[in-house]
Amino acid sequence: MLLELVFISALGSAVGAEARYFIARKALFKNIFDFSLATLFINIFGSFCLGIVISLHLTLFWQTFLGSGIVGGFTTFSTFILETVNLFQRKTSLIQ
Amino acid sequence: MRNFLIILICGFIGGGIRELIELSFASPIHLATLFINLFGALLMGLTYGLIRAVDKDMTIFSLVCGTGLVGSFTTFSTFISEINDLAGFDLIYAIIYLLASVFLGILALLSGIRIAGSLYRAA
Repeated sequence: MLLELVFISALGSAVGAEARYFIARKALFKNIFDFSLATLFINIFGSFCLGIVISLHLTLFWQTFLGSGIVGGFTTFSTFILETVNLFQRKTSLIQ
Repeated sequence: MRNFLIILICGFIGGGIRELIELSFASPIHLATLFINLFGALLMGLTYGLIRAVDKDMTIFSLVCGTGLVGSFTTFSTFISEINDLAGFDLIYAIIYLLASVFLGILALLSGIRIAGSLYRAA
């Protein structure tokens, strides 16, 4: 059961990471105000989606796949912190 | 196409490790996500610091570690959802959790950059 949940969460995370990668590369988000707004959009939109997933009261399987997996892999805390530090230092981000 | 595969595989591994930690350390006070995000911020600092120190084109390294492994390992949505849970329980606790995550996260990331710099100088 534990490994099953880990596996479906990992599958979802792969999909979410892919979506994040493609959004971060979109020219629309590149270097507005001297830094990328992609991570901000990703994290806000992801939190919105997680709210929907939680309110649907799905089974544990689907909640893990959609919530921990796809949305969890889509949103990112580390890049958010990196960009915050970068803004302090007024340097554009190397990693998106 | 190559980048697509790198992100797919690294996202799978990063997300899998996160879920494994979340399930193993299931606690009512959400310490698992705090640990995951702080540890991830440290790793992101290491990655970023190494890229900055080496000063070469390290796109693959940044894709594998930054966007793939660490990016999927840490999560913002669960963090926000847990703050929401805590706010329903005790608002002060939620605010402490939020501030601790962000400030310790910044501290962890800066430590990662420092460690990367000293590793690079030692090598």
